[in-house]
Amino acid sequence: MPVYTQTYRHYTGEWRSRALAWTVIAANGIKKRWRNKGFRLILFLAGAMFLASAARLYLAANLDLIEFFEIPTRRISEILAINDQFYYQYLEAQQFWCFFTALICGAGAISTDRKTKALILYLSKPITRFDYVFGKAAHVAFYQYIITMGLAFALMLLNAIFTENWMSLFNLPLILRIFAYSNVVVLPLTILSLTLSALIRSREMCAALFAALFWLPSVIIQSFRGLLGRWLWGSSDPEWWSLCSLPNLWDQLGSAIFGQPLPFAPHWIYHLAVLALFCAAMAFVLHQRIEAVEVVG
Amino acid sequence: MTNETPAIALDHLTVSLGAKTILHDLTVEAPAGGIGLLGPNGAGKSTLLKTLMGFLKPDYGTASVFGYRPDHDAASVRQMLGYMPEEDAYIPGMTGVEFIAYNAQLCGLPPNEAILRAHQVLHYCGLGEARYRKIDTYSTGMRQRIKLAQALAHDPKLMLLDEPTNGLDPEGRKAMLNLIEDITKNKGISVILSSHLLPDVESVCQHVVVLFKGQIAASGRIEQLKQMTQTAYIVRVKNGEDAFQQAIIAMGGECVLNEKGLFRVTFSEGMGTREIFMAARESNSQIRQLRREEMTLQEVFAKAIGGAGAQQNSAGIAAAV
Repeated sequence: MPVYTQTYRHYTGEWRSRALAWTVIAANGIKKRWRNKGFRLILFLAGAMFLASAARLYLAANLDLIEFFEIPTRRISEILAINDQFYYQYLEAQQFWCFFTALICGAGAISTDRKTKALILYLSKPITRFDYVFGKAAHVAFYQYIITMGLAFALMLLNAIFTENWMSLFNLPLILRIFAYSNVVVLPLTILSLTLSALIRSREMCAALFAALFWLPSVIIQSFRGLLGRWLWGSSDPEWWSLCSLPNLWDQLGSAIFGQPLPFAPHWIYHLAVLALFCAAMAFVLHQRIEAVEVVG
Repeated sequence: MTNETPAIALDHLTVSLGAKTILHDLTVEAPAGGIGLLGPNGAGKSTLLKTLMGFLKPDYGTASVFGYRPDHDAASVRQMLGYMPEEDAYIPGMTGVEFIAYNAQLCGLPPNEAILRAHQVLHYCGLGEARYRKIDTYSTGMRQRIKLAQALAHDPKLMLLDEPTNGLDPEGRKAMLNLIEDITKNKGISVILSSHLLPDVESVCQHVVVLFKGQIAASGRIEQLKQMTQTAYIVRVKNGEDAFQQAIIAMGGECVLNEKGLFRVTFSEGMGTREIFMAARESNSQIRQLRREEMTLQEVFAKAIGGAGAQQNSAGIAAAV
């Protein structure tokens, strides 16, 4: 009997719940991304704002240190005040790194599987299209959540440690604001990057298109405003153009969530509706695309 | 589910892609074991495999795998299935062990069990030495084997193998067929082998389903099919060869002398060896050799395709008239 015929055994061990299938895909993506040195550098750079914010928290909690340098503390304490705006500023700065993280994780998430025909292997397993897409989305969103929500909550913890005010950890409205704004930033980026990845086989092409879709609307709108704005709207610009660009949507919704003055004239509910429609449209295209691969192969 | 539950059962299965009907009213049952799925390009083999995996829903009729309906519970059916696609398919950047363990985990094996299983399956598929190498560096033959290994990772009951010997050299092809034969005969795993290479099917399958233009052209045990289409005899006679030939023709048969000096005698249905002996008696010839002509699967296939083609043509003509 050849050796190979002796090695095969029927599997008699335990089985995990099928509901956990997406976690296998997500965990694999997260591990694979972490092995990439370039990506770890991006994460490190994304943490720079966290370190600066942590230093600010420390100084705000230790104003007597500043007094030592004979700097007028009253003005400084106003600048260093730790309030909801402080967390909003932190999260706003992380938008840029979220864009990069989504670009790196999302561009190859599905396109590589399509290029190497691995998608049909996934779909032939006892998992659903939803498991596959959710697993991929979880991997793309994971690092974005780390650098937004995760580090924002870490800042809350540091603030509690520095001020020894443990009750500040239970600031539920602030927790909800951080949670809501993080999702406003992370979800559209994740869905957009996955949809492009499902539509385009080339990872590089997908990354280029993602960057173009992210930045170009703002550039085009500002150019049109500069050239035709006065002629179109006279002196009262209704600012409906702010609905056409993702960074503008974030600015408007972020300001609404954190109770800041709104940067654009239209009510923020329009911005929320446009963002929800955008996510739904992308999710529909993504679903159709994966189904097409399943059927056509 | 009993032991007699067929591996696959199709009942008036009709499947369309968009407006085009690909599978027309298929009704067939195939028992557990090696099942060959034959047919020319565009016959509907891939569509049938996708229907069995639950990717496509029937317009009409049903398909079942060991009694389970893929259109009702695709996940349960896929748990029983291992699929080896025709084209090169892999996840880049993974070693052989990582790839198989990952596939096993996707099917529900816990991580530690999946690693153990990956080592076992890779040894079984002859990739034990290469299991720590990146799949990207594998040769064509190794890629075929790793595709087979990923389909085996979760110990399926039925494997769907789409052209498993594609791109393999003769030695690699033989080794792959040996492996598939061992899977189906010794490991108790049924196999549906979709191939255009008839010798491959003949060597590992006991049952065959021939598809042509989305319809079943023939199905059954290979041996039975060969016998059902058997109407030719090879005869060697001594003395009175010409008279023997004339006697056969007079009885309504065909009798052709081949280059080896043997007659190839064919009759219409209902006639056989009795008529050959009668012809020998009439022509005062001695029969020195008489045997049924061995038909190859290729001839069975050609006949089935020819029959189905003729039927469709006549149906088309009737419709036109």
